[in-house]
Amino acid sequence: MKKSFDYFRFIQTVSPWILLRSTVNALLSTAVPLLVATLLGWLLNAVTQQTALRPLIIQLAVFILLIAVVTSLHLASAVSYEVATRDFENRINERTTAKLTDVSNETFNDRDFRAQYAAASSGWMYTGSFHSYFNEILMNSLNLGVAVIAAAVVLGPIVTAKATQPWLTGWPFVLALVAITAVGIGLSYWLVLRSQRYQKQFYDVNIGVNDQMNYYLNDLTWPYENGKHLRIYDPEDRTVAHMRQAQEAANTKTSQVFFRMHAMMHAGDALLVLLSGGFYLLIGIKALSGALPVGMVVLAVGYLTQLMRALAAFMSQRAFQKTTEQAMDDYIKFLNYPDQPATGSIPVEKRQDHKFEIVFHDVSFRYPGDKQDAVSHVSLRFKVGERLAIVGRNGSGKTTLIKLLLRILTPTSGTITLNGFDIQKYNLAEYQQLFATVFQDFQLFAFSVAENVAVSPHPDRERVWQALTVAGVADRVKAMPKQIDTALTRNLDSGGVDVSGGEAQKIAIARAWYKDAPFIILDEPTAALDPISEYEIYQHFDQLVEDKTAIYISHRMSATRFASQIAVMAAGQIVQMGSHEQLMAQDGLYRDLFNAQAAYYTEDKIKAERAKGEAAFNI
Amino acid sequence: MRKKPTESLMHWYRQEAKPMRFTGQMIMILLCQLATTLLAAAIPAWLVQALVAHTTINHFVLLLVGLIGAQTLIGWVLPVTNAMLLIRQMLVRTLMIVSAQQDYIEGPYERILEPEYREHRQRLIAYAIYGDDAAGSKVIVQESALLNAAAILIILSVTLAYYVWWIPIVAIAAAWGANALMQGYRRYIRAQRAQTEQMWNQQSYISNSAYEEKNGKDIRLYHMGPWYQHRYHALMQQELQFRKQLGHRELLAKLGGTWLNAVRDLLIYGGLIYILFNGHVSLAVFTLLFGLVGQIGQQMTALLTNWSEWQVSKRDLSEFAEQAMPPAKVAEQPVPGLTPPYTIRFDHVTYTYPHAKKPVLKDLNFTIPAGQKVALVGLNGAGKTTLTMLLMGLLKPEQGTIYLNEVPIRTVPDLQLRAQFAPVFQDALLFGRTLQENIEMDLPHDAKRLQHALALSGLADTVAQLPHGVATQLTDKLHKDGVNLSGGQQQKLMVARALYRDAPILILDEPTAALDAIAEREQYQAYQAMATGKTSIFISHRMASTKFADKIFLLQGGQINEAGTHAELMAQNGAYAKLYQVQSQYYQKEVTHDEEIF
Repeated sequence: MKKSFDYFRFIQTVSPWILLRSTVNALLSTAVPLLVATLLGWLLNAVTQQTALRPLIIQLAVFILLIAVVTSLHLASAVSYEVATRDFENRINERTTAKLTDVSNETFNDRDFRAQYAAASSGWMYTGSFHSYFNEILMNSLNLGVAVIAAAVVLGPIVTAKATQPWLTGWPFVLALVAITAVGIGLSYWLVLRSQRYQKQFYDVNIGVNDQMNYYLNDLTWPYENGKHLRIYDPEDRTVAHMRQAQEAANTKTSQVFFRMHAMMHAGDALLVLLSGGFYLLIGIKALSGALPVGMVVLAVGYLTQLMRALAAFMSQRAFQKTTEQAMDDYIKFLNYPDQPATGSIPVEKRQDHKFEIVFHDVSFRYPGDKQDAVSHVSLRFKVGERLAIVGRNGSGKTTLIKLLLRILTPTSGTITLNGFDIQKYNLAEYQQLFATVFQDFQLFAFSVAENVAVSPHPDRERVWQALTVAGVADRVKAMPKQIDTALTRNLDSGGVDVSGGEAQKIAIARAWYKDAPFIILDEPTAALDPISEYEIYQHFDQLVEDKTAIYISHRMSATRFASQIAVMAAGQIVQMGSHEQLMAQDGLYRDLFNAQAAYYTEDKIKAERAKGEAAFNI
Repeated sequence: MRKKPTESLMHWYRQEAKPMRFTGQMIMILLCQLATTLLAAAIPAWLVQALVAHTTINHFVLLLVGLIGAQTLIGWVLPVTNAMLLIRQMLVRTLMIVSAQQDYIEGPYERILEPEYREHRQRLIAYAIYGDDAAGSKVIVQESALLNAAAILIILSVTLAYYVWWIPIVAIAAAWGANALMQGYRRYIRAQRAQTEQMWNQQSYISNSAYEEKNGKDIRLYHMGPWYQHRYHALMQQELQFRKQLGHRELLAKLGGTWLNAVRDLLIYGGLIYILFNGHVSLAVFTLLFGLVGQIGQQMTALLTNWSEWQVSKRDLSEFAEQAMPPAKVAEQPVPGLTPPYTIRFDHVTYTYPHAKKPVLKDLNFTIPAGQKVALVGLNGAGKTTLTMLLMGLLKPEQGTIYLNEVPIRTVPDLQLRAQFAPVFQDALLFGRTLQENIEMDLPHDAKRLQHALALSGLADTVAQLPHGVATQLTDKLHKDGVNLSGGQQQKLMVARALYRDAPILILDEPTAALDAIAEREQYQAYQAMATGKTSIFISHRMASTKFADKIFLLQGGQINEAGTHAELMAQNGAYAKLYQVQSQYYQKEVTHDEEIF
């Protein structure tokens, strides 16, 4: 009971009127079949008692009118209630999306949080969760209540009517009715509990196979990029064979469990039919002894059938109730998933001169479950207006370092300070406003180009064009059907366009420029670009960076030429630091990295010089 | 050749749905449904009869026990059989989903590149098989319901007409009218399908992309949360308005039906009372007819509703079968005389992407002699990748012919052609299987070859650190303890896969973009070893890589504009020389970064 109260309270906070509407709808839906069941009993009584046809027909017309009116009311209520439940589900979905976009990045990437989301959403899909809770559980309970009252009303006169045998009157008769009911309901409930177990099994089998099929269908075979791999490396469709095997194995199991579940559940229903047979028997015997009019018997039978139906519905609902409750609990747990709030509250000083100083003090970070630090004892100072390049081999901790700076990750030990204060103490939103970042795995969204660049529904159009020009993608956007109002991809707008990887990268760079933050961070921004595009980005580099502090990560060693300082990372540590000239003069990783790439170009240069020399000699 | 829609659907059903024994179940359901309908009407009538005729108690008890016993038994058999019919049909649907996916990954590669085709296909699948509402989830149940309704309707009509001829006619006419109103509403819903679907797609884009792990950083750093929520809310409101509008129409249609039925009830019940008063029928028969009249209306409605829905289901399914199910396989004989090493020749090849205004490759001619290593360079979008796709037969030329040793590749069956290539694509694809299976793919296991592939690709160190070595499951999609590899490791795995395949033609499409400088150098050296004795094509934006090639092709304006060795092309001082200089200047000591090149 306590638990139901909690659910109701939650439902109430989401949508204040839904429970009342649900109740009204349930009552109206019970009224119609009861009225129809009354009609036959009333008619039989009327025809056996009345002798004139005309008044009977008039009464019939009034009765039918009443049924039509109640049915109409029910229809109106049902239709508007349907819209209201839709609205309820929408509100729940909105809360879900809000939760997903509001939690901190650490929680967002947390395995348990994501598992909780998966549990909540698959539970929702299978049981209908809150929606089916108030829609079915409430409705079935109300139906049952009304049916019990109606049956009691009609059974009253039947019980009290005098019969020839003493046990057919008063308490003994009531006792017999109660005994039949108790045995029937008890057995039926037991069967429901048994079927509940299979219900759970069915649910588990299904979730398992759904996860698997979701992988095969949506992750593996549907993305068109995978099509070429599958066609060349899997020409005989082993993937499909695996998929089919998984599905067939699950089907056999599903079919079995489903049969057992329904066999149990409907055995309960069948038992209730048997039970209503017991009622017929008792009432029939009493009627045969001449104690009851025919109409009353038929009316009683009609009402009892209604009662049995309501009882069966209620019982089979009980079979699903546990899984529904589980789904609701999962959902509430997801919404209340603890998210460490960003603690900082110091406002970030707004400075026109961009005078911000960031210092790493012996910072280390280790990913949960890892044996080694991803970033280990890094001390580093960013000077304002400086251009810093970070280089190093794959997996040396460059991107992790950036994530620590952006407060996407929190250091395991050590602190990072901004103008002397720990960055964790600043208001998170304001702090992150200081940085414009283009990640290696940057993402664009299905909104318009302008909205993507401005990251706002109200873009400054002129500035958007400027940003696109700086990033070198303005010409491409000019050629789009609606220029900067063209949507990217067709997910939200059927007039949207797809852009290539290089173009997307340039739009992401435009987005960073548009933000006009004091720090600009570029993580491998030219990986997908051809030499000319790369060159253009390099050419616009000054315009892109202006007087900001820039941090640049790249495997293109050529890019380090733009940096006044270069930090070289290996195994999470900064192993070298200095200008290009200084580092080239040292024996170390930097020179190795640079030469590994430059060799091919400089060798050629030497050869060319030599050729020139030879040519000169020939003259 | 694709078969006719209904034919291929029936073929498919014969194969997949046969073990489900739908016919037997449908007959069982029909019998039970008939019995239960008749019993429901007969029991109260018999009760009235017994009471009016004062049957003896023994007789009454005996008959009642028999009737209730039968009803109980049917009360169990009918819903269980119905449930089994439903679930088995759902299971057939899941197998149809698998088959459809087979068609998707086996069918022409070109079509899946088109977003329009993918959207169209998703629509077909959504209507036909995806979800509990799809045609494939309902069609058998609809057929069963149709059969039941038709049979019961005939029996009821005959019984009722025996007493009062016009009762079935009135009942059927009223149900017909009510259905016509509903039919209008259903047609309206169907006409709105595109809109509903668009709203649904937009909603699911927003909610899915809010959950996708890769989007987390950008959404947070650029503070997109509130904006996202606002967009979502707007979409939800839009949908609600639409639902209200639908609800309005639905209500009107149903109210019409309700009042039509009220008129019907008045006529029929009035008629029954009239014949009862005139002594044409007994009270028991009156009770029976009363019960049957209610049924006839219900059954007629069921018949009409199911009929129209069945038509829709059939249409959705046959459209689906025609366009999304795999055609029957024809075994193709391999072409003789196709033996490595291969000389590759493009002869006046033109290719235009669907909906593109200009061809990406235009009247392209070149030859790569057997065993030669070619570097293919050019700007983004020049058509380098397209060229390799044409060569592998994944795309078909619009004009011209591609030859392998003078055999036109369009004459070579897919299976045979695809076996000739070991490509490393720009992107990586890992399967939720073991590392070993990911490298060997469809080829038989060969321990030595596997070790060689691991060593040469530079993956051996990674494997040594994995918990179960080559038997480690990759990705955590299918196996909770599966390992996720980094971008660089994935790229190396793709190289190992190509190495293991050891096919006569090697294609490398920009495989070093994600690698650091030293790893890049190692990869170049690996390719040197890989390409020995094979014909190979190498695509890269890193001009340095061209050093390893016997010949360089510069692709520009859809054609090979320059061809030759590095030294030759540098001497030409054309587009290649410019590209090379742009990139190499940053590695030269004396060049400053703002020097103008163009």
